Amino acid sequence: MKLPKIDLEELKKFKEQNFRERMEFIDKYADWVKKQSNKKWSSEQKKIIDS
Amino acid sequence: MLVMNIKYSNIIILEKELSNLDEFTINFTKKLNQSKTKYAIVSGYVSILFGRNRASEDIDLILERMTFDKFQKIWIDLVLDFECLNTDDPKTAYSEYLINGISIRFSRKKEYLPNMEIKFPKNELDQWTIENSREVKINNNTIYISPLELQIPFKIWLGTEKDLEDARYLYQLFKKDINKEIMTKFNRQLKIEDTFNRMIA
Repeated sequence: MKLPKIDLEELKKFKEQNFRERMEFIDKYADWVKKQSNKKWSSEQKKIIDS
Repeated sequence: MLVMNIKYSNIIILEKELSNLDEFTINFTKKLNQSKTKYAIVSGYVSILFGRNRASEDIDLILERMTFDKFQKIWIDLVLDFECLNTDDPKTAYSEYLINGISIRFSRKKEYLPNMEIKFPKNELDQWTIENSREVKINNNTIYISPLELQIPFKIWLGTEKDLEDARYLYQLFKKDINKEIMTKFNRQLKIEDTFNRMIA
């Protein structure tokens, strides 16, 4: 079986980019949480955590 | 001052729909509160408590160093609802685990997860954490957490992606309210000022 060539530098860039995007998402999520009622965000959180 | 409907003064007041993890934590710490035991929750649960959407199988708790007699009293109360996953003997838990700096874990009876990982303070930083723990009133229940001025820098110091995300989340929520002078001192001591400025602030 022929395996694909791995470009580690490219993968590292993807990883860094993914992390940057995650951090941006954290900021957006924190902003969203601040704007919602506690009932709203905690109800959403419960669905995720308890699933 | 209100942050996400949290009243942030000396006591943080939070009303929320409780998850399974919240209920576990509240029921466990209620027993510590009843015996007036000092402790601080220091793990990723602190960010989950305030809304971060991720799971955690354990909650880390620093428990004040105490005599065996006091520990045994707490143990007797705890095992009414929880079981220790390491041993069923309080003497062993105390003298072979906690005193030697090894943590013990409690879960609800006949369950394994989630569990509460308990240790005695190992150094000055741990001791400072419980001496300066922050009271949170959650749906009228009290829990004590690590001061956010330390929790955020410490998460950055741990440095995994998950820890950095937790740190950023807490900072985004509480940046207007935390004591920046104290946090900056911890940043300096932990040598994470660059990471803080680059990734969190």
